[in-house]
Amino acid sequence: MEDNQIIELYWNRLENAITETDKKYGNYCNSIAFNILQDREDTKECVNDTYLKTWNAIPPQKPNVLKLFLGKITRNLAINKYEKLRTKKRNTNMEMALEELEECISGNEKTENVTEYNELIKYLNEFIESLSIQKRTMFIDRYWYLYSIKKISSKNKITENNTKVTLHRIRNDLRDFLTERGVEI
Amino acid sequence: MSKSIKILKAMNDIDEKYLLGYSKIIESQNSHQNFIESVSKMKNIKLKYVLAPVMTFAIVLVCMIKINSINNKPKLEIARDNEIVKENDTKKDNIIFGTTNIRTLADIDGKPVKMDIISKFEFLKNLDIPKGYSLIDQWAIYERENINDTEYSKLWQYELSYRVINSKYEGNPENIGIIFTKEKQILQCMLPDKNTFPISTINGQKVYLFKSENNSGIQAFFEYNGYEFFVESSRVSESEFITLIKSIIK
Repeated sequence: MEDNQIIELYWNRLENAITETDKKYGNYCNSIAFNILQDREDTKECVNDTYLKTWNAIPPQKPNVLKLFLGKITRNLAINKYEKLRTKKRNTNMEMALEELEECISGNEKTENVTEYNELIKYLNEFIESLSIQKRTMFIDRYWYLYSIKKISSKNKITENNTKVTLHRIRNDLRDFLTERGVEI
Repeated sequence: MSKSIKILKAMNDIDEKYLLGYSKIIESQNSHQNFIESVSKMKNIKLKYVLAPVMTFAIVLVCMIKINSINNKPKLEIARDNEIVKENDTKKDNIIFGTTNIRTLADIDGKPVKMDIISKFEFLKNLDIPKGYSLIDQWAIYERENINDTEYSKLWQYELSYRVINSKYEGNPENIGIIFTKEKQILQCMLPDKNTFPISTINGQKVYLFKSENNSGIQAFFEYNGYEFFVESSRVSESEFITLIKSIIK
């Protein structure tokens, strides 16, 4: 079924909107959530929450790209869920990704606010734009889709060591990029 | 919240073109690789004999596009100048389009209520909607006062939706949406960050105009009569869009 037909089902408040969404994008949402949570039950719960949130959001929302709309909700919910479960469970892939990102952060604490958050997004966009296509793909794979180093290596047909080195360089560049612009998180 | 989780969360709001482009990059990399492999397999034909005519064709094509754009440029400028003088002698328009940088606010939650909006507002009467479009929906969107409330009691914004019935474009049909609010922000899942784009002037009013990268959509932000407006469109021409904006900012 086409995306606009699925969105139409949501707008008409027909429950098969969720069935059709699951049929088309269930695997996509599951893989995003599982990469973060690494647990089948938690993943299932997270994807169900995604459908509920989508049901509540459309209408009034009319997503331009349904796949990304669902992907972002899933990723957001999975990260929130991960934070709650973090003290109880540990999963190596997510912990590794978080430890890697610690390298990009300066030591000073600052209070959170919307302006800083928007500024961070602006600089992340600028940084991603500056990357070569291959590096950009690897960066998105690792820190958006949370793919494992092994998977990224096999996708790019390079060794795991090579992947680690490339990602390490990208993180160093990101740290320098953010520091130069006075971004402290 | 862990600092690294903050970056990870911020990644959720990066420009969608990187996520959309991501799959295209993979496809193009694969297709390029397949092309090279298939050419290499043709043992009797050297790569240069295949690439030479392709390159020649590409050069000719680029030259033709360049010549065509040079020929068209003055005509476009004259047409635009004429239009400005004809439309308004006292308030000179200055129209600049930025390229859309979509931001996503996926946590939005609101309750739509059908309502006759057009008769409620003077500035919505006699809108210049392009030919073929029909009014599909009129909504008032209500929000919760507080996140813990179950009632949607706060009137947030009004929305008008126009579409072409039986559109031939299934995936991305012709569409016009007019949203306006007295609140500080429009609620919409895909909202461009207006502050990063050039300011145009239409009928003496400050307007932020955006075009999507593939030119299929045009959007505008502006303030009028105490309301913040967001007008979005798909498959509407620049001139039709500007005419519509002018019919609101009377």
